[in-house]
Amino acid sequence: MLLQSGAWEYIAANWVYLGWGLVFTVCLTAVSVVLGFLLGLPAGIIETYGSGYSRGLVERAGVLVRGTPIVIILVAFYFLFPLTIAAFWAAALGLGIRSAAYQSQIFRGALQSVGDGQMEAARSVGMSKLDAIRRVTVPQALRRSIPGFQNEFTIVLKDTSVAYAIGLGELLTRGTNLYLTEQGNTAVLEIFLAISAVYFVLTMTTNLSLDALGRRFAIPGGEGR
Amino acid sequence: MTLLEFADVHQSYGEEEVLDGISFGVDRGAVEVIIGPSGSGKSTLLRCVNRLTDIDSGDIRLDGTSIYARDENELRQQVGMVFQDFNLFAHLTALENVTLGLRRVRGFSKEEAVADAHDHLERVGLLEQAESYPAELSGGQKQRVGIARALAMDPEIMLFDEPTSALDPELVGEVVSVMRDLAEEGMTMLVVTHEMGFARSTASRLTFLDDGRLVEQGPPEQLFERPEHERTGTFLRRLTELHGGIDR
Amino acid sequence: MDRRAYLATVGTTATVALAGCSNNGGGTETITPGTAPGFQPFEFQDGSELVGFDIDLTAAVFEEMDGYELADWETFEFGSLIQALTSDRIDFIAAAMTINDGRDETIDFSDPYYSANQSIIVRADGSFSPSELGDLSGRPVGAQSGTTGEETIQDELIANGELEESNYTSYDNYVLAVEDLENGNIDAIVIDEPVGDTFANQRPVEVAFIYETNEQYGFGMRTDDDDLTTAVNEGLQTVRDDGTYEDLTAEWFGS
Repeated sequence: MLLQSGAWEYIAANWVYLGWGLVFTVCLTAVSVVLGFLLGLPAGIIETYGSGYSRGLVERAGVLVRGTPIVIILVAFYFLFPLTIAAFWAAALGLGIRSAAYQSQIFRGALQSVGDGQMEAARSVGMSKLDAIRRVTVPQALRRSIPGFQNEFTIVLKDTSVAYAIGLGELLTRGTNLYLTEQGNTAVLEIFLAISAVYFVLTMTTNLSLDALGRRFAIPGGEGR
Repeated sequence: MTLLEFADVHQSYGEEEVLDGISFGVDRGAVEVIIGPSGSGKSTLLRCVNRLTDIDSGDIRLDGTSIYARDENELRQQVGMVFQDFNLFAHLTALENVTLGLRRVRGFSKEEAVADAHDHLERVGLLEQAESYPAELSGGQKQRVGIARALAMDPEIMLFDEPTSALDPELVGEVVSVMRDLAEEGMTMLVVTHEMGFARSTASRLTFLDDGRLVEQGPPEQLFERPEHERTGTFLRRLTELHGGIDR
Repeated sequence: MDRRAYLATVGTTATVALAGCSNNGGGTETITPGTAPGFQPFEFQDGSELVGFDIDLTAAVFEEMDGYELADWETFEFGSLIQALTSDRIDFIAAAMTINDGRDETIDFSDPYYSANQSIIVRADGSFSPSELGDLSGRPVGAQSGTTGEETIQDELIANGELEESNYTSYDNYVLAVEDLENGNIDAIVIDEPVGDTFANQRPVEVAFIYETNEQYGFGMRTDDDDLTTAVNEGLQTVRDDGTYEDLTAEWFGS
């Protein structure tokens, strides 16, 4: 199917409507990833260093969340939650908690990859376990988590489109609404291309930013002993 | 005067008995060198002293008090440890490796910590490398930072777990030299090592461990020249062939 | 009684009477309507604006209803509408929703406000010209998931073996189905009549025949909202009687 110039004009004419979709998508992704980090890092730490009850609890919760389809999580937060919250926050909570469940695995892997010797050395000078985690292993683990984190960001970005299930007008939903019209139904390909381009730009931007962050905080000389 | 005492210490790793009733005392200011074949429990013995490994029965007493009768973290300030693999904090400079404990454990202010750390680094000859990261340092330099880091806690006793085993031969000397200085200053040291030169020249006593048991103990000359047990002699001869009696 | 007292009494009485009138019923109830855009001409996005037959009809019906006020429209994906209604996110569904027994168990419908059938559309320049459902046997066909069109295919063709499951493709929306029809990936689509007409006007597809399902659209409300349902039915009747309904039909379905 040839790309039609009329289609691009149609898209351009609706830039405000689509623009808000973009705003929702970006905000939703950012909030969800941050929420995922705030919950996922402690979860990863507990899964690595915790013991007994707390660790078992976190592990089981993680398995449960990771195994539940994201649409169900969103619907649960929006429709079944005892408090009435706006679609955006329901989506952010759902996506955030799910991201946390996956980020916890990123951090757990990264923490475990920091050798035991680091923790032993920290404890041997008299540091408490918590301090050792905070000052020695987590700083090193965070640097090693960057690739996994970049990946997680891309996944969350793409998953924001499931917010259609609770009616949130994010980018893909709005694009779809535009082509489900008499005027727009011949512009399907162009609309998909436009949205894909936006996703691509968002992903590239974040990846490059995180790369820069990684370079800024890189340990000179590499990950030595 | 006994600073550290092992009292019938038993330790098992699963089914396997690693320490099978170790009992002896270490005097203040002594340089106790532990030798023995791999698997004899030497490293484990050291790790029991600062509770990185827990004993199954018996007791270890520091300054008369059981190590289990005091706060774990407080104990570890008094017992400095130097690791075979250095275990420097990779994300921190040499200076920060030393100041971390000073600030977080001993509660020094930033200025106090930096000043104190500089002193310790100078003591081990690494003042110029203060801003370097571990990955930028040679093995010998890394180990010396490790020693400075442990010393910064102002410990009563220093444990050395095969401190030079991971070093290239030409780097061993700088570390041994620091250890010798430390001994001369009167630090109580418990050293697991293959460096026979150090053992002969600096050890106040040699302890031979085999299969979790204390086989023989005495001044270096005694074990080298007139060992009571044949096993001791065999082991020491083999060790001397490999690591030389050269005083480095 | 002197003149001043007389005026005062009349004035007070009048004021009280007027106040009493405006407080009649104790205030207005705000109703949040919900729909699922993407179904022209019933409800769709015209840029940032939500428009359509259902939108206008709802507004007209509520105009006639005393004591009820329409809030802004909430949009959802079609499948979530009933859930949104039962969890009080919305109070009213206007989304070309077919009245059927299954849905009737969970919600209440207003009187029907539109009758629809399914149309079968095919490629305009193609050689395939079915005249009845049975002609679709053995052919690749498609429909939008969750619609009556899909149901028709499932119940009338697949259930009695006239069509293999593998020959049926379910699409997220009918536009994608039409794309596939044009590409030759499928040979026919079962789709709501008004929507089918829209495509037939615009694209190289045509309506082969109408399959009468006599399905009817109704507005959806909660089962315990009887007052609202009654008021809506009354309003709908008024809208039919005074010609507004006909005007809207002409506006949205006139070709």
